[in-house]
Amino acid sequence: MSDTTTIVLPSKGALAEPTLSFLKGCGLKVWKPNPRQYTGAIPSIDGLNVMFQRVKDVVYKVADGTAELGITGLDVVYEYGDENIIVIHPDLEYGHCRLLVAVPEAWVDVESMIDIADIAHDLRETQHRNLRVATTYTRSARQFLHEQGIHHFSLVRADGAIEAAPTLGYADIVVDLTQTGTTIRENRLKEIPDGVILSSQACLIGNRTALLNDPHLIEKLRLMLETMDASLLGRRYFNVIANIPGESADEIAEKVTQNPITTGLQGPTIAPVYGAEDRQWFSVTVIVRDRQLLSAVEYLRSVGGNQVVAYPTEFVFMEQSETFERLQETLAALS
Amino acid sequence: MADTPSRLIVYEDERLTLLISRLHTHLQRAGYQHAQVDAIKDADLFLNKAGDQIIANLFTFERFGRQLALRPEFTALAVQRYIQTHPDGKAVIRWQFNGSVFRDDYRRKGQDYQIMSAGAELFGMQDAVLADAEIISLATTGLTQVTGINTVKIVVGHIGLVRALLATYELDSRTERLILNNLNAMATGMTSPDDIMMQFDRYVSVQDPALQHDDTGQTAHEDARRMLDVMLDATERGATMGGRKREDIVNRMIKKRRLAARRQTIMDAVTHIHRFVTIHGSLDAVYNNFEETTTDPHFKRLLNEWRQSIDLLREMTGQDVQIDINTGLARDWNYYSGMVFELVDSQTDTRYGGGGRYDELVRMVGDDVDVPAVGFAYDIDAVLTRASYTQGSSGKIFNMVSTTGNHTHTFAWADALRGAGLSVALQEASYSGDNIIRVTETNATFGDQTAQTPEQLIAIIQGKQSQ
Repeated sequence: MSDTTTIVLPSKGALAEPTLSFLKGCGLKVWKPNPRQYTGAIPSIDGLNVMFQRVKDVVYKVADGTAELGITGLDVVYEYGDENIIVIHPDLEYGHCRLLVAVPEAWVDVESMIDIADIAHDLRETQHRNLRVATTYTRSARQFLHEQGIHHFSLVRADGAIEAAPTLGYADIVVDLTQTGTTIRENRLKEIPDGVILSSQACLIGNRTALLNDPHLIEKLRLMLETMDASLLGRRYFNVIANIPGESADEIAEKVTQNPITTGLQGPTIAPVYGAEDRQWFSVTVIVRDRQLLSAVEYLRSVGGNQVVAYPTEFVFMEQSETFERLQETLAALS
Repeated sequence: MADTPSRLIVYEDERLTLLISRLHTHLQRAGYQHAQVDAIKDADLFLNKAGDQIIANLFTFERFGRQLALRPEFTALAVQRYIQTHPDGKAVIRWQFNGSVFRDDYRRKGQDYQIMSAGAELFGMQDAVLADAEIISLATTGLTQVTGINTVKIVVGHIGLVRALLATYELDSRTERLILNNLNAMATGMTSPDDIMMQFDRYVSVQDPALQHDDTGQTAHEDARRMLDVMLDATERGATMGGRKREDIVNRMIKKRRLAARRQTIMDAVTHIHRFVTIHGSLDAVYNNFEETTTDPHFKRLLNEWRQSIDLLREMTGQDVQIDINTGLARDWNYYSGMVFELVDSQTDTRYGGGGRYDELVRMVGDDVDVPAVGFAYDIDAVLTRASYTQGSSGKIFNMVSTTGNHTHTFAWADALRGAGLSVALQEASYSGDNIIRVTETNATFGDQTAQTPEQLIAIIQGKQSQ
């Protein structure tokens, strides 16, 4: 047990900058002495040090206990993780991508994984060779292909330009990571609808032994998860303030709460507005879901609302962090 | 404290060695000679011949450009050895194997990659009835007589009968594979004929709108020539073909179309097979139901042989051993061609082993002859958990300690006892375990009795063991 905790963050690649932005948005700004250094700290939590590593190494460092916590891609955890890794938060809502099976677009006879299974058998029976699959993600690919009933395949391990493998002729199909699918299409490949192995995003992971045995770590993690959950929840809401004329706060409350989208998390806050007009005005403050913002504004207008102001919430702290609660249940089951 | 687990491990090792040795003797008495095969072979041997399940768990690796595999079982290796040593395929050969086999099960974390297996293969015997009964009987008596497991039941199926039924529908290999892969699931009620047809429909479906409609909205189904044009056009656009040719793609597309047109026939086949694999009841009732299944003469001949094998097996094993018929028992249908069986504990459902007939495997492995072959293998780990035999005197180790520090005498006493077939380990003076023999320059003491000569000591030990 130690008073200091280390979290490993991606040093480069698609997750590096978004991770720093995400933490900053959570009030966990990372301090880095200089851009070339591989260590840093998160000053808002005492004793929380930072180490920067490649995404794959984030998993290794957490698994071997060099660091207690890490942020990396879920795809990388599935590929390189082991039983020493616990996924604490599976979706930090950035770094979205999919690990999927893609085949040459000229394969017009292939529309599902069943077709690929059939072709693998055909190749074995007629050409006495395996279906060749180019991928970096050998573990995930192997498991997925077997689960789909495809057993006659050889994995061709490659670290870059995987999409080009079928064109270059050293593979028949690919298992690769894609964000938008553009690179797949540009290389004249097509996705297989039921060939999505994993929908991945950034996730928070922890070392199992440390989580089970280190109360200092748990306390720091509680603070982190409180702000992470509050920040992630905050992004889904808008704070809406509208002025509505009426006889009393009760009358306004009745009108506003008649529509479920303007009832807020607990209920609207209503306060009198002291102005020069003869009419009595009330200021109504309510939290609404981002996707319901326009409907909420429309409704408030329909009950006399005016001068409607809306701004995004940064944090919504609930009674306690749901993620932390889930983690405690997981740890209780493991101990 | 550290002593306990290591002693247990040693004990298990002793039991394992003894079990393998006794099974070896059991098979040897039936004429099965021990044969050695390689642990590492070219992966192609197993990739081409073994069933999907074995391939899925095959432990492969690459070495200087060669794809190699650790042996997942003995059968394919035995076949290869038979072809090398008896290329004419006429010799009747009985071989037995034991040793480690290797599985890489992607679904299991912390798995044991290495599993102990023992079994036997019988090649070249033309009388299939006799050969099948011999193998099942040997496998069963190995458990009942050697290991003391008396709760074993024999579950017997017949892949050849299923294949004979399927042959009457003249299905393509893809559809046959779909049905055979689902055989066990159909027999246990986990999969219905409708489920299988849903899988079939997914396979033959074409969702690409470019292939379904032409310019006038007429379906491509109705105009095969236009469909072909669409496909040729689509494949011409891109240079990226993987390792396939345009003809491969077009041929497969046409194959799918033809298959879709045979949906009713396939549905009939699935329903027929479902009815066949869900027949249950007493042996006679089951046989009568089978008789009514089809009039196909090949099926009738196989059924007749199977019945004779089971009747013979009944005579060989006696009435105490339960025999269940399960036509949904698929095992690795890829290379089994006839009778298949499993040895299962009737109380715990533990699977102790299994086997079957694989007449086509010799041809698949590369020889141009048909060789009748049948075999089985035990899952030794499963057998070991239930084997109840005692270790016997040969497993007992006597610990000899010199009380005077004069080891010349100790060696002499130990040699004499070892010469009489006893196991003796020399220990330091501080040793405090069981079965201690204390030796001085003039005598030896075992328990409370003292002997002046090795002969007397042997008599004392044998006297105590017979008590």
